[in-house]
Amino acid sequence: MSSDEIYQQLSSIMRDVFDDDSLVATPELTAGQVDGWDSFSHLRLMLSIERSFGVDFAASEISSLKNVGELAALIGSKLPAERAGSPSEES
Amino acid sequence: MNVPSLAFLGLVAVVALLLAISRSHGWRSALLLVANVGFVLTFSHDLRQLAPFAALLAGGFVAMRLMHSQKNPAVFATAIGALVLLFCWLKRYTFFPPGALLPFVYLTVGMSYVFFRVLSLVVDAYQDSLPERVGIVRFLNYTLNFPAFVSGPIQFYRDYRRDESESPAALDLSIAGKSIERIVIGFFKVTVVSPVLASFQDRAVAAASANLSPGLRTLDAALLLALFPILLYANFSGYTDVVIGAARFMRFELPENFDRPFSSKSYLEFWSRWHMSLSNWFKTYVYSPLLLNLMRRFPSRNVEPFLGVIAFFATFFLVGLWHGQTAMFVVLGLLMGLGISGNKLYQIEMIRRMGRAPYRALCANPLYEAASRGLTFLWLSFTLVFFWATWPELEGLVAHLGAVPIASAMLLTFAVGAVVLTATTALVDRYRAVFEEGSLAGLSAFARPAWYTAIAVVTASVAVMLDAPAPHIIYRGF
Repeated sequence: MSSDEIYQQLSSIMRDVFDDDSLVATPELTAGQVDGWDSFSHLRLMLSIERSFGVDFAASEISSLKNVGELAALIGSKLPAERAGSPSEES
Repeated sequence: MNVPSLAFLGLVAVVALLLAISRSHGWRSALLLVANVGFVLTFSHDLRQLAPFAALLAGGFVAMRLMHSQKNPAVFATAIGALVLLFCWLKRYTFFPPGALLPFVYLTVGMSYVFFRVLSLVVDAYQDSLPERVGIVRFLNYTLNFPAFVSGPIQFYRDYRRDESESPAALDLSIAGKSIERIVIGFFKVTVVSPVLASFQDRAVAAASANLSPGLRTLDAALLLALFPILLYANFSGYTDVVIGAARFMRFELPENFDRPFSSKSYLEFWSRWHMSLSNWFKTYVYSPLLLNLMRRFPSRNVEPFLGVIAFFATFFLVGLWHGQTAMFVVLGLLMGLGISGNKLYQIEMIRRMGRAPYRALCANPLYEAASRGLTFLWLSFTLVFFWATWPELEGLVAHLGAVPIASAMLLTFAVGAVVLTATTALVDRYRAVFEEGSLAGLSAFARPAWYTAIAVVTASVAVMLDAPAPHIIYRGF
């Protein structure tokens, strides 16, 4: 799965969790910039990501993320080798 | 060794100078090990007094190493359960029969904070989120990290490792200057502000048993409610200022514990600004795993918010319980849990009834903001009574002051809290806008040294007058 595909899938999950169709997942996006992104909805987001991508997060990983870029990188690092791939490999 | 004290600052200065000799990891690691173990030995040289603490560390290390290879959930739960039980036993929780406790005095200073670090390592090892297999030297350096040993702040392992392993930037004048300012203001809070507030608190307690008029009893009860949160803040944030400032000389960036907590407009917000390293630890290792498990078990959008309420209650009940070993702290935990879950429930209900945007607009209304601040402060003040008073003291206070003056005092605390805290918050915002970020920021290069020198002189003068060996730190007892 390419980085672009991760961001696309993330955008779709975030729109559903935060009930905002205009949301676009970008690397710089932070919780403070999204209405309703508190500790509770953060966990809803992480659970939706776990289900959607088929990955598991550790407790310390859930609380250490600073922006969506770090979240996307973490997802990428957890995807099996055949599903994960860099944009350069895909292009 | 007392923290904060001049001896503590001296130790930090020596370690910082020695660390500057070489940037090699081996040197840094070995020196920190000597400093950390040496610091613990300043509390006791008696092997018997040190043995229980060593047993907790040994148990934690074995459990962590086991979790690197052992991924059986039952083994993990047993290891966590055994460590929690060992900690409660060593901390003499009153649910253990007195005959089952160790019959001698032993070291417990810093044990709670070491326990949090140990537990996080065991969980992280089980979840494969540690960057490497942690060896005994790094384990001891992390768990016993001496600037944060006595009362935190609780640093996550990933942040500790960054400071310990990576070549830190050299200490420059700007960092040194800001660190000294932090230490000066910390000493001022614990040496000058705390004793003054503590003496007012003692007088208010003593006055409660005098034959006062109903009006004076109301005033006394209001002082009893309102003084302690400010005293605790001055005392604990002062300690935190000193250890954060001191640790920076060793190029450690300890996490912040306070972020203007009395500006909070809700109890939920308050706990994101007060004892932040503790609440972050509980959020990471209790609240999040508990809520995730509940949401997996009950996968319904309608139920999820209420699962959040349950997780908040359970987490803050444990936070309250952690503060002490007696029944008073069970009540404290219940009140904290009720406060935080009630606040969350209120938010859910208001958003459901009004919609998110109108509720946000209501929260931004200045009158609503002020009332929310007053209510947050009142609830904090009320819960903290179960922190500083014993049952007999509490019964005595209620009997002497009477129900009506106490109820009036609560109203007064709410109203004064709303006005004073809102005004203070606005003033601080204005000060920052003008003197720290605005057109007068340049003045700070001249004004700041003079200001902090004056504070240091006042603090040193008070310390000499009081002739106390070291300021009392309330959280040292945990």
